[in-house]
Amino acid sequence: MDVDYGEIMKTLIDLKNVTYTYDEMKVPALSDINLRILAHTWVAVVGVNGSGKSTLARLLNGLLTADSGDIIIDGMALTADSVWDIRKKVGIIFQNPDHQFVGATVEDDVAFGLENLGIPRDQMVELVNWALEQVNMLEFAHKAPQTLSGGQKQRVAIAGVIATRPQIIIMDESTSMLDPQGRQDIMKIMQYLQSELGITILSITHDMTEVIHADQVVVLKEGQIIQSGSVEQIFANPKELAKLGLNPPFTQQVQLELIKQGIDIDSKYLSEQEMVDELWQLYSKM
Amino acid sequence: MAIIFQNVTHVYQADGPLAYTGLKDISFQIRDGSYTAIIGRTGSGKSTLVQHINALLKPTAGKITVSDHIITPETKNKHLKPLRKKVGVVFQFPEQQLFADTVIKDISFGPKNFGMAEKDAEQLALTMLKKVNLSSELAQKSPFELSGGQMRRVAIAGVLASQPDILILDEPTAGLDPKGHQELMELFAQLNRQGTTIILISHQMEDVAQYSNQVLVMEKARLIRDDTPQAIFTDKTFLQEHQLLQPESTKFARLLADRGFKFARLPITTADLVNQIVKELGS
Repeated sequence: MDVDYGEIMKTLIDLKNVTYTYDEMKVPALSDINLRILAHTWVAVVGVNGSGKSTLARLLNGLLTADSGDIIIDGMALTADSVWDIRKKVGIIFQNPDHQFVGATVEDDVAFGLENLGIPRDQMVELVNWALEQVNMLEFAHKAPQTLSGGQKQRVAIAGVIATRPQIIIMDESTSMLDPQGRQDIMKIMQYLQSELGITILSITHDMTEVIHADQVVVLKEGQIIQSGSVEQIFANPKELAKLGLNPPFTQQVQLELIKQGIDIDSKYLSEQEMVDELWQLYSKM
Repeated sequence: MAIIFQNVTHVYQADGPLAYTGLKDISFQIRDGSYTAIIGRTGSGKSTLVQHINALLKPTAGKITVSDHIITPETKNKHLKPLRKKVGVVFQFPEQQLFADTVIKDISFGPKNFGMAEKDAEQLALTMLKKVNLSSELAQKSPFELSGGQMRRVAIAGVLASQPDILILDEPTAGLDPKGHQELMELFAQLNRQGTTIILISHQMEDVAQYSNQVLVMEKARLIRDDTPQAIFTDKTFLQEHQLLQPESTKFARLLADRGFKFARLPITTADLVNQIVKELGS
C-alpha cells in the first residue's frame, strides 16, 4: 500500500474540550481535553496509573461516550450514529493477550472482525492471509490460541485489527504483559505498520524505550493534558516528569547523574548516539 | 531458610496423552537471606519452578528441601500448612485474586487462616497497609473500588501479612507505572535486608542486575545457568545464544567500549556505569 505523502500533515484525530466522568465518580477521568494528532504519526501517551490514558483510548473508538466536547476522526464527528463507521477507522489492542482471543484458531480469530463487517467469503480469506502475513503469523493460521505465546497472541490481535484496514491503531499497554522478545517483535511490527501501511499509532505506555521513538508525546496528569510535544521537548525538563512519576529514558538518567557528579556535558536531551559521541569527545580530549 | 532442589522433574498430566515436562532434572541451592532472580523466556518453566517451593506443585521426581521441610512426590497435602506459612507467593497480576468486601478483611485473611485472632490480624493488616504505602483510610473500602496499582499493593500486603520467611514474586510490578514499580522494588529490597529470602521472577534485567545476588536462567524446562548477575550479564555470547537481553547500562557501556572507552569491568547497573565514567573522565 502506498502512503500518500500529500496527506501527511492532515489532522486525523481532533479532540475539542472533551470531558468524561465515570458513573458515581465526583471527579472527571478526563477533563477538557484538546488534542490534535496528524495522520501517519506515532503518538505516545504517558502518565501514571489512573491519569486517564485508558479512558482516552476508549473514548476514541466509542467504547465510552464523552459527557461533552467533540471527537472528530478523519473529518467525521463521533456520534451514536457514526460510531460503527468510526470503529472501522480505529482499531484497539488491549493489554491482556488472553482477553482478546475469540476464535478457535488463529485464522478464525482474525476473520471474526471481518465477518462482523459482512465481508464476502473469498475476499475475507484473502484479507485474513494478508493480515497474518503482515505480522509474520501466516504459518500459525490453523493453530489453536492456547499453543501460542503471549507475543504471538498479540500479533494475532494486531492481524485481526489490521484486516479491517483501520487508519488508526490504539495500543493500550499492549506490550506490558510480554517478555522482552515479544515486546521487540510487536514494536518492529508496529513500526512497519506505521512506515509501510501509513497507519497512525497511538500508544499508551510506561516503557520509555518505546516513547523515545514517538513523533509526538502526550503527558496526562489527573485527567488533563499537561504537555504535548516532541521527545526532545518533553524530556527537556526531566525534573518535571519525575514529579509526575515518570522516569527519564535510560541515557538521560545517566546524563543527569553525570552532570550531578560534575561531568561537563550538554544538559539538553541527547539521544543514545549523541550521548556516546559526547562522552567519547570528552574521553579522547584527556 | 535455605532451599535445595535435587534432581527435580515435574511432568504435567504425567499419566495422560497430553503429558508435558515443566521441569527437567533441576538442581540448585538458595542460601538463607539470598535475593535470587529467575530469568528466561515465557514458557521456560520459571513459574512451575517457584510453585514447587511452597508445594503448590509437587515434583514427579526428585526432592526439595525448604528449611526443615522435605517435599517429594509422596508428600501429603495435610503436612504442608507450616511450610505455606513460611513461603509467601505473589503471583502475576495478584489483584485478580482479591475477594473480600473490604481491604482490611482481604489483608487479614491470611494471618487469620494461619490461626491469628481477628483483632491481632486486623492490627497487623493496618501495619502492612502502611508498609505498601497505602493510606489507612482505604482499610474499610472495597478493594474493587481502588485503582489497578492500589489493588496490586493490597494483594501484596495480604501476602506480607502472613510474615513469610521466603517471599516469591512472579513479575510483581508488571503493568505498574515507574514510580509504583520503584516503590515496590525498594520495599522488597528492604524486606531482604531485614532477612527475608526473596525469589524474583522478572523480565526486567535492570532489576535483576540491581537487586539480586544469584541468577537462575531457565530454558525449555531446564536450569541452564546458576551464577552471579555480573557473570551472566557480561557474558555476551551466552546472552545472545539464549535470546536474553543485557541491562541498559551494560548495553550502553558496550557502545562506549566499542569507541575505545576502557572499563575496569563492564557495569551492570546505572550506578556502576556512572561511577566508572566519572572515574575515567575525572582522573
